[in-house]
Amino acid sequence: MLSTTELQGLVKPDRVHRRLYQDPEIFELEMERIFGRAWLYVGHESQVPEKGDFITTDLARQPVVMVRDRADGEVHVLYNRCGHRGAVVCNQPCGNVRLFRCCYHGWSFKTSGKLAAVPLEAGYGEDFDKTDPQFGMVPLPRVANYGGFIFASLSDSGPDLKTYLGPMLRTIDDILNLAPDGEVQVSGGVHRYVFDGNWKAQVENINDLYHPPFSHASTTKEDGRQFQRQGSNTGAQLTDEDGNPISFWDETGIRAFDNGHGYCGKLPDSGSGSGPVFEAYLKALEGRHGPERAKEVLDVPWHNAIFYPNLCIQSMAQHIRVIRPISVDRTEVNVYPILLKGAPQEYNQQIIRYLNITHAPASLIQTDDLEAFRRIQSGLKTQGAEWVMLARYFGKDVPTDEGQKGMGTSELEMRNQYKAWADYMTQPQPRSNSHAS
Amino acid sequence: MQASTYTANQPVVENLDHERIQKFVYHESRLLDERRFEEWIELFDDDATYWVPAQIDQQSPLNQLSIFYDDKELMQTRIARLRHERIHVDDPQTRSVRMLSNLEIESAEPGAGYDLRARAVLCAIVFFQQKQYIYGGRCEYQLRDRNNALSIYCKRVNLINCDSAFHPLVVPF
Repeated sequence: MLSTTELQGLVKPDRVHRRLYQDPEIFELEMERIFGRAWLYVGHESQVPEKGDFITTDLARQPVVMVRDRADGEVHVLYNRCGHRGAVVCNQPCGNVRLFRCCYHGWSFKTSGKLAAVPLEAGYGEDFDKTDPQFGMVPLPRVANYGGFIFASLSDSGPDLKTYLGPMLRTIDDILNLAPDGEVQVSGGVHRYVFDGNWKAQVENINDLYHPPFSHASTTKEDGRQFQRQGSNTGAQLTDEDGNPISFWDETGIRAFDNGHGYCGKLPDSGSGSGPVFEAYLKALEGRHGPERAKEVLDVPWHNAIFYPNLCIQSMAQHIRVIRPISVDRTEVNVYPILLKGAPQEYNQQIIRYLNITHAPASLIQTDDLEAFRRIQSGLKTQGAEWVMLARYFGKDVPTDEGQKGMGTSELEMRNQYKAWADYMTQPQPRSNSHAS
Repeated sequence: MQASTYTANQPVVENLDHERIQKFVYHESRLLDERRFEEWIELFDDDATYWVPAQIDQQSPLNQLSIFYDDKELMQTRIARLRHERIHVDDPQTRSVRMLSNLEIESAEPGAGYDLRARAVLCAIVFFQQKQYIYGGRCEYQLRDRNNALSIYCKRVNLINCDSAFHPLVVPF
């Protein structure tokens, strides 16, 4: 087993060792020490609007079910495991139940996770305590809701969600403010893609503003413009007309906060829009906020927000991206459009349409990055060099009240992620009670 | 020449030129196999759509995400990217071969905006980044038969695993 010193030695302030992406033992430790402790995004409460509604997913590779309690309407996150012999109880991606029932011996569970009934119960001894939570579908130790975004932690200790997220809470507020009714809805389906690479490659990529002109070269025309983005008249300018990256990528800036979180500044198109659909949306938004405030609200000061380690929210084509590590060299990512309640239907349809272009498994954008992640996984097998460089603008980051800020194309965000990585990984911690018992 | 002999919902239509339509969809499929994308697009009408839903029995491409939902303009953008020298995901080029089978043809309802419906089982074998993938599903074509020429008004591909997680999909099905 890797010692704390060995783990610490794999992360330097401006570089990380290639073992972080290659070593299955490190991956197992990440699941235990990072995903086992952090607040992980599970889903949005609008995915389970009615009592008895559920969705299934996994956290740190463990199957879980997010369900709205039939009794009190609370949203629970339960381990998706029968309290009897351990089979996954709920085998559908989503649905509605009165009780969860195990396929094997028919044990059934309330939507709170409590054991409801055991067939032929008399066969168990008198000391069989049906109220023992271990015989139910065990709830995760901690679950919290912010603005409808449901997070859970596999650990019973650690900071509360608001403390853990800190300045990131603002980004959720910003998204909610974009909805004329003040609420968002995650009901537009999901893009699911996998790549043969390490999960951290995807997390690094989200606020990597150095890559777009190169990785996404195939989406630009000769004038350096990308195809038209949602709600804007022109495509994003990735390069100047000679094909050189333009300066806004640096100027937009990047912010890094505790626990590996951060966001990058807005893209030039953000907050702008035109056409009758946008006008109708703007009118609805002004109805909520008034014209002045609506303008401010639309001018979201960030583009991609990383909630380390498993969530990204994007403001421009509003979506949620969830990172699901499968193994050291395989990762699944799920992308959900964030629909704005109170916006014209056509406006939300534009979000969906645009997300097909950017993040579908057949998208024009994300697929080139996925190929880069695959090549990283392959290239880092080589022994010629040991380190992965994250040194861009190293030493130029500026402290702020909340963390640090840097140039847009700085690799500050990755350095910040690996600072959190090292903090988590070098703190061996006894497994929490819920795991040990 | 033979008529379609079975339909699920529509009355059996006699006298459809099965062989002509079979030839058309085989050709369409081969253009993709051979990466003759510009010719492939030419088979689609200007108001056409190419749709690969992301859910079984997906009702709407507008309110739910899709794997592909392209109008002609987006198809052209997609093809332009496939021709771009720096499309990393398609380097080296993806190879694919499609088998179409179980072709069924019926005429469209009056006023449908197209003339014929053709369904075929698709088995696509794709060699992508040194690995081979198999995709299966059913293609549904809405075809126009005007001025003695067939054209595509809508092609929908219902993959049996449409709601699963995918490796990058580069070439349309």
